[in-house]
Amino acid sequence: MKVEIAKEKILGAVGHAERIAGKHVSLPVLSCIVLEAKKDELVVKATNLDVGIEINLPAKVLSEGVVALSPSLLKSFLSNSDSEKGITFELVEGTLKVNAGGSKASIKTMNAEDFPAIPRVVSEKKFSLPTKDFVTGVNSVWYSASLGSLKPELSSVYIFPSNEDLVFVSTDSFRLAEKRIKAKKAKDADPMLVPFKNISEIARVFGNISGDVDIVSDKNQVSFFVPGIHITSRVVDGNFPDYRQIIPKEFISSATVLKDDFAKALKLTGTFSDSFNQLIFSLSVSGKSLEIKTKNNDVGEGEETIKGSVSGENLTITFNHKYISDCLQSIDSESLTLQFSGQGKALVITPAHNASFMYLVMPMNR
Amino acid sequence: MEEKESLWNKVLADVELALSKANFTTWFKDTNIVRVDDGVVVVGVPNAFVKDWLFNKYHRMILKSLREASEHVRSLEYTIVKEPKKEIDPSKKKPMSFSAELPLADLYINKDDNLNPRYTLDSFVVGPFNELAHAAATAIIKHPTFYNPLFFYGNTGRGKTHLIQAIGNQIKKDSPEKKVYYMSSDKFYNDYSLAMQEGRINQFKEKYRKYDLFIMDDIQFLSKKERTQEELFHLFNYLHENNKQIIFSSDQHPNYIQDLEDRLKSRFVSGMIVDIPEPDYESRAAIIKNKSIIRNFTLPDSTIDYLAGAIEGNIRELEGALNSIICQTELKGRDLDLAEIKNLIKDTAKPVKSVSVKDVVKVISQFYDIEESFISDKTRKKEVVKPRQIAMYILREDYNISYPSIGQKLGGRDHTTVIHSCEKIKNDLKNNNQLLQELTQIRAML
Repeated sequence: MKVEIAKEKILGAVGHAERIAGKHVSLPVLSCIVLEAKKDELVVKATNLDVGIEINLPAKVLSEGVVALSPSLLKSFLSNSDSEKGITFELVEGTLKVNAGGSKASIKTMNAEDFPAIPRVVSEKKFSLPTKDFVTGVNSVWYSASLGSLKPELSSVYIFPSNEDLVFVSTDSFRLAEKRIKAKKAKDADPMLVPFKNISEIARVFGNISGDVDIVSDKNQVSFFVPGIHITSRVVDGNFPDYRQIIPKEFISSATVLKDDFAKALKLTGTFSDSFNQLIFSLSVSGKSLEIKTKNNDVGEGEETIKGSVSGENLTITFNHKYISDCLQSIDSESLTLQFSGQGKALVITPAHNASFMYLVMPMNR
Repeated sequence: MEEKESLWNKVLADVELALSKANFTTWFKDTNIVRVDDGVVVVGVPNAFVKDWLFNKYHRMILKSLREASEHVRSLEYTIVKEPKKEIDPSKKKPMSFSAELPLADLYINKDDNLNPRYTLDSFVVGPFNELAHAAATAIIKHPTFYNPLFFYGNTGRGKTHLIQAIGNQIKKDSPEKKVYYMSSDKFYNDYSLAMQEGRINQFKEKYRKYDLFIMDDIQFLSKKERTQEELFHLFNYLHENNKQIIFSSDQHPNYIQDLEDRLKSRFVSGMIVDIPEPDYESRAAIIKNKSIIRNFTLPDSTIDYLAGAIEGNIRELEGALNSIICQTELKGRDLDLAEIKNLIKDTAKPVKSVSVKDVVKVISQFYDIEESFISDKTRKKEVVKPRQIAMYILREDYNISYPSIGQKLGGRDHTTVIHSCEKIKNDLKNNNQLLQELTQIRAML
C-alpha cells in the first residue's frame, strides 16, 4: 500500500475516527482505525460496535492496500509534523512509514482482517435535511440527556416529525430541552431514539459540512450519509415519554431579560455556588428586576440584579445552577424569557419571540 | 428450550477452537438460538455489527458446525435481540440531584398500541358503583368477543379510560400475539381528515383493519362528523364480521349522543352496554387510599374521610386534590392539618347547593324551549305540564324545598298538586329512559 494525501484532510478524518474508535474492547483491533487505499481514495474507518464511521478521502493511490493502527499515535504525529502539504503513507512489512515533509515516522500496525465492516442501513425509511439544521437540532438538546444507563430512552436524543418540523428532544427527568427545525422533507420520518453519546459525536463530525444529510433508519440502527462520510449508530428500542403533557400551560410570572446580562449574572454567581449548586431567583414586579443569588456557607455569597420586563407575581425560587446555565448555548436570540408556573413547579425558558426552542427545568426540592 | 441451548453450546465449542479468544468473546458473547423453525435456525445477536460480521465472516463455519450437531438443520438466519431490561435496584437509585423530578414516569405510551402501561386492572379500584363494568371487562379478557361490542358510558372522571386501557394491557399480556390498538375518536377523525387530504384513504382503511382488539375512547366527539362516522361504520362491520373485539366509551348512552347516525347507534347497542355511575362514598375513600399508596404517601384516615365526603363524582378531581396535598406537604416538609387541607381544596369541594327557584325555572324552560312564564301559568298544555312537573320534582328532590312553598312560588298552586307532580315524575322515571336522560342533563346545567 502506498498513498499520498493532503495533510489537513487526513488529520481531520483521523481526529473524527479516533473519537469513535473503541476504548475498552476485548478485541484489540477495534481500538484501531483502519486505513484502506483503493482506486483513487483513502478510506478511514473506526467503530466501537455501537457506532461506526467511514470517511472517504480523495487521494493519490500508488498501490492499494489496507492497514489497522492506533489513531492517537498517528494523530499526534500528524499534528506535530512540519509538512504543510502532502503526506505519504507506505506499508513496508507490517510497519506504516509516514513521510510528512521533514518529519518521518514508522508506526507498528495490526492485521485489518478482523476489523468489521461499517453497516449501512438499507430501508425505505429515508429523509434528508440540511446538515447545518441537523447539527443545530442535536446540539440544542443533547446535553439534557441522562448520563446514567438505567433508562436508555432518557440517555438518548428523541427525533420525530411534527407537522412541518423535525423535533429533537432530550431529558434526564430534571430538565428537558426541545428544539424544532423546519424540515418539510422529514414529514414521514419514523420517530427514533439515538444514544446521546453517539449523536453528539455525529453532530461534531458534521459540524462544518454544508449540503444535506440523508438519514436512513430501520428498527435497529440509523445511518447518516453526507458526501464522503457515512456514520451508522445503534438506535434505542424503547418509548420516549409523551413529554408534551407536562409542559405547563399556565404561568404565574414571567421575566424577559437580555441574554448577555443573564449569562454574565450566572457566571458571576457561579463562583459562589454551594455543593448543591443552589441558585436563587427573586422576581420583583415593581422593581422590574430579576435578582440572581448564590450562597456558600464556607465561602460567601454573590448576587446580581438584572433589569428586564417582569410581570405576574413576585416569586423566590431555587434551581440547580448547572441546569440553568446549560441551556444558554441553545439560545441564539438577544433576549430570553423565563416563565414560572409557581412554587415547586417547572420553569420554562425560551428565546424571546422564537418558539423553536424550549427548555423546561424543575426547581430544587427545598 | 434445553435442546436449543445444547445445540448452540456445541457450536460455540467448535467455534471457540477455531478463533482467537478476543475474536470469540467479541462476536459470540450474548448470542443464542432464538428458535428453530422447520430446519431454519435463528440466532439472536446483540447488535447489527455482530449480525453483519457473523454473516460475512463466520456464516459457513457456524452452519457447518450446526449441521454436524443436528442433521435437521437446513439454513441459518440472524436476528437482533434487544438486551433484557436491567433490573433497577431501588436502593441504588441515588438522589444525585436535589431538583424535583418531572413526572415522566406516567407518560410512557407504547407506540404500537397507544396504550399507557400505567392503566392496569390491578390498579383499578372496584366498588359497588363500577362492579358491573369490571365484571364485563373481566369477561371480555377471559372470552374475547363474548360481548361485542362492549360499550361503557358514564360522566367524565369515572375511570372509563382506565378500564378500557386496562383491558387492552391485560389482553396484550395474556396473549402477546394479539394486536391491540387504543385511540380516541378525536384522533380517528384527525387521521381520517389527513388521509382524505393526502388521498391515502385506502391506507387509512387498511391501517385499522389489522387489529384483534380495537378500543375507541370518547365516541361522543364523532357527533356531527358524518363522513368519519361512515368510516367507523365500515370499520366496525369489518372487525365485527371477522370476530374481532371492539370496545367503545362515551359520556352518555349511545342513543342519546346527538347527531350520531342511527345505523351506528344500533350497532353500538347490539353488544353489551354498561353504565358507570357516580362512585359512592366508600368507593371514593378506597380510591383515595389506593392512589396515595401508589404515590408512596400516607394520608391519615380523617383526611381520607374528609376528601371522600367533600369531593363527589369525579375521580379526576379526587386525584387533583391528592396531588395538591402531596405537593404542599413536600413543600412544607410536614403533614398538613385538616384546616389547611380544607383551604387547599376549597375550589374542588362540592359547593353547597343553593339555587333560586327562578334559576331552576329558567333552566328548565330553556331546556324545553318554552316561555318562562308558562311554568307559573294556569295552562294545561301538554308541552308545559311536563316541564312544570319536572321543575317541582327537582326543587323538591335536589333542593329540599317544602311542597307548599314550591306550589306557592310556581303560580300559587296547592301543595297536593306539587306532591302529585313529584310522584308522577318519580314513577315515570322508573321506565322512561328518555326522561332520566333529560333530568341528568338539566341537573348538569344547574
